[in-house]
Amino acid sequence: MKLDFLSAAFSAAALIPFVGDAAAGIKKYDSFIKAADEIPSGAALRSAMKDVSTPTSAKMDLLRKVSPRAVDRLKGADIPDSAIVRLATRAISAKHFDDMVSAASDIRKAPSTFRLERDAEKFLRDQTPGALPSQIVSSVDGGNTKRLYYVFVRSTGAADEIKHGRASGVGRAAIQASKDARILANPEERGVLKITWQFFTSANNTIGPDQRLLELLAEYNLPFVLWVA
Amino acid sequence: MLSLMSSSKEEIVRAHHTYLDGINDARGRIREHLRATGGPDPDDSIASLANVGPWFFEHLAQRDEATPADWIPAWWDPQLPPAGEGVETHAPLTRQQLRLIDEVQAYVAEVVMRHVPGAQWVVYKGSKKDVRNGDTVIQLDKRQKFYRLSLVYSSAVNVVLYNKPVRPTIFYDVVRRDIGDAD
Repeated sequence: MKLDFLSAAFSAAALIPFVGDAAAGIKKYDSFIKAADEIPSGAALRSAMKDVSTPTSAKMDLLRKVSPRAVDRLKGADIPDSAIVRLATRAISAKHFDDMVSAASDIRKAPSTFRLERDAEKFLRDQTPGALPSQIVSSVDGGNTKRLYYVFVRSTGAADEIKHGRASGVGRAAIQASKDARILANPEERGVLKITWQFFTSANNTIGPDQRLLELLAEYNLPFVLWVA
Repeated sequence: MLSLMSSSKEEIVRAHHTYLDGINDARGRIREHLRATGGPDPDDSIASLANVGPWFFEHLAQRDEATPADWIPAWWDPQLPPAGEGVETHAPLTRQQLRLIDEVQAYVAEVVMRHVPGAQWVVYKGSKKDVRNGDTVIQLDKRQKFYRLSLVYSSAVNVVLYNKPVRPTIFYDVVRRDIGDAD
């Protein structure tokens, strides 16, 4: 019932022309998004970012209000406004967008989105000095638990997990994160000393861990990088 | 570090023998090194590892000990220049640190071989994507292997590159645990 009300309210609000009164428009979206914070889908933010009648500069002003840390990090990494707005168009929510981007250990510019995970893997391997030419398997618990890493540098023990688009903290990624924690608990024996999760923007402009996976990465102290295109 | 997971059988056998040919030299060097620096007594006992560990981590930070300019350990990729020589490289350790690791891994191996009857040097054979494929390791018993180089090298990289705390007694702790686990 609440969702229906907010959805209808937003639809009506979206009909008000933005051009000519940008400040009022921003205020309208800003207050709406704050009111809609409880909507898990973040529909309000996405709709505001998708509004074709709103200039990119106004969308950035709005983003600065609802996801200020994310905008600072992305701008600091020299990410263009158009790419930031594109990401926000597919954000889970303004708060999640802010939390995710500010929690990233690094933000990097990707040359493009990647259609397939293996394309991102090839790109990352080419970018990584000393990377072995193939994926590697590491194991714990006497070989009973195995973990495959996309990119590995033996001399530094640095391993990379690659995620393409949005990754969920339920299912496979959650299991992988828990295995990483176990492997890092005995680093001296396996040669895997640092594990970084590398998130690449998919062709549909989604990127990064969802809220649950974000919490897991923090819990296991696993750094992650966002490759923004 | 040398990775042999994609190498031919001939290359793996050659690397295995090169490593074993150099291990006596490394054992001699660590004894000389310990004596010259007032380090612990290398009496081949398991207990001695509890003192060799702290000595190792203390000397890992030192940069004033001379190392022959063209020396590299048999387990190091000869195409990868060590750090600190003004050449672009992703190697995390200097030639001096590699030499120290070479000495200590040889001593750890010596202690393990002495205390585990039937222990022998073997070439690791695992799944195709196992990074340890082709490595020279110690077979403790039918099922268990001992990775003395990974133990010493990873401890050093964790300290030098990642600034992570490593127990000074880690060599003693791991050897005791793994020897205890061996049949």
